[in-house]
Amino acid sequence: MSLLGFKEESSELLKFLKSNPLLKELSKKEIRKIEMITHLREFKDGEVIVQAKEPGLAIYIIKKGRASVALGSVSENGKILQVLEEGEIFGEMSLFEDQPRSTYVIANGDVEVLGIFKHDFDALITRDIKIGFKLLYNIANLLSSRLRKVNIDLYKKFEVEEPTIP
Amino acid sequence: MEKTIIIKPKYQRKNLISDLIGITIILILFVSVLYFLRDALVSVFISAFISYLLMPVIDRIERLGLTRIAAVIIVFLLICTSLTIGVVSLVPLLINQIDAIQARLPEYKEIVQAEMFYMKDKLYYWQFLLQERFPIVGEIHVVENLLNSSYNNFMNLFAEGTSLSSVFSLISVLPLFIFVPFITFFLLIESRAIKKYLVSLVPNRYFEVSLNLLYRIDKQLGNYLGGLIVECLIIGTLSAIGLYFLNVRYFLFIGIVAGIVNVVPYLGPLIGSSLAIIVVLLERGTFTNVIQVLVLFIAIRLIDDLLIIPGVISKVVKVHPVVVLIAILIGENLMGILGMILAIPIYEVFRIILKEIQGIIYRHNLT
Repeated sequence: MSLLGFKEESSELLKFLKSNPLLKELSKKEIRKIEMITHLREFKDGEVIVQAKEPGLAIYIIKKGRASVALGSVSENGKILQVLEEGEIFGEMSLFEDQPRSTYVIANGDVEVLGIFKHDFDALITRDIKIGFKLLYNIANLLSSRLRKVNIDLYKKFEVEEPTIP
Repeated sequence: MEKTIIIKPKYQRKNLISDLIGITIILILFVSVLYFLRDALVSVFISAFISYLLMPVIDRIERLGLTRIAAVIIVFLLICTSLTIGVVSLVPLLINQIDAIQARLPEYKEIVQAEMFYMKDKLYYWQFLLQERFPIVGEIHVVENLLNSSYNNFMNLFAEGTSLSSVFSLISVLPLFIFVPFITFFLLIESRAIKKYLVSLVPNRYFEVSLNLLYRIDKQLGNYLGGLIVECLIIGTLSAIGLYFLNVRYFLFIGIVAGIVNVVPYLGPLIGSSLAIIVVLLERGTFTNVIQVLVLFIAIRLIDDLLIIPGVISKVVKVHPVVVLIAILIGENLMGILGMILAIPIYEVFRIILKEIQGIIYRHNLT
């Protein structure tokens, strides 16, 4: 039995993590190691999850609900760039650069997210190179698909025809 | 899809001052509760300290593929084995030395008494000389007061019934021997769950900041404590070996004490060397013996300053000596010896917290 009844892990959480694209190709044992460094946070509708201009210190996975990625200042209307769904990831840029957050992420309805602290992530991928390779590969995939999406949006914005593969 | 979003006023980060006041009040209450319950929580403090030191070892073993419980059991067995070996090999010698000190206490008492009587005569003679020129000296009884207080202090050390075995009374430490391993065991097994639970209590807006704070405190304290333990081991060993070659009695006992008191910056080395000199004097050592011991401790100090500190604890932030002394005095005032030992780590924790708050205020003013 756990001391003071602290709930350390749940099979439901492990199941959720196993199905996440970020943790693709990771074994059950490796996912358990990721689970050890995740923090479950609950946000109410409209609550700021990630604040623009603040230092980025964590990556998040949406466990339940939706979140809006927005540009703008807190006193004005923020412009919504994208709505993230269950299982999607945000804050991944903070893992690679020591730059302030570039956008807001705001809870769109009640949201549950899993936060992974940057330094815990760094320690894990340095300690376990196998996990590190798989995780970084999956994040590179994610960043690549996001860049592709931005490119497509730019093609549309400048009304240029997208190149097609013959 | 809606194109714009307004952050609700209650979620806008404008209430920084009230947040800071709230956090400060919670911290003060928390520290006060710990302070008032300090006697009852001694076992918990010691267990938390030991688990903190053992955590990196447990993590390392766990990474080899073992479960956490197995890693904790292995470390506990290793500690028990090394303690047993230590007890079997070193303790008989240490007990011999402590017994010898105890047996010679009456003799030491006589030496101190004789010295004090001699000093008393001298002081009265000086008082007499001074009194001739300044009559007021005789009225304020300087010498009487000075002698009475110091004589009483010295004699208390040799008072009947006071023995070293009663200082380390088994009755007072027995609960610690039972509780500390028990609490340490569970703290080590549940450390991650406890950390997660504590972080879960932090409001969402300070989630990342709190994790960063814990990370920085952990890093700083880990470096400091790890370095300090290595430093104390080296100083203790060097002192014991040096004193052995100088034929100083109770070299092992003094070496262990010198190693332990070394955790208190500046004052520790002074206490260690003073103890050795007192022993030499009580054993009717010559002036040369005293000089030899002094040279030994100065050499150890130099090795510490030039080799050990730069090599072992160079990562530790350099704190100004005045700040160190003030922190030690406050620690001593609040929690005695334990306070002196914990003064610098606690000062470091506060420094990191204040720096983080400063960063929050700075960023808040920018936005």
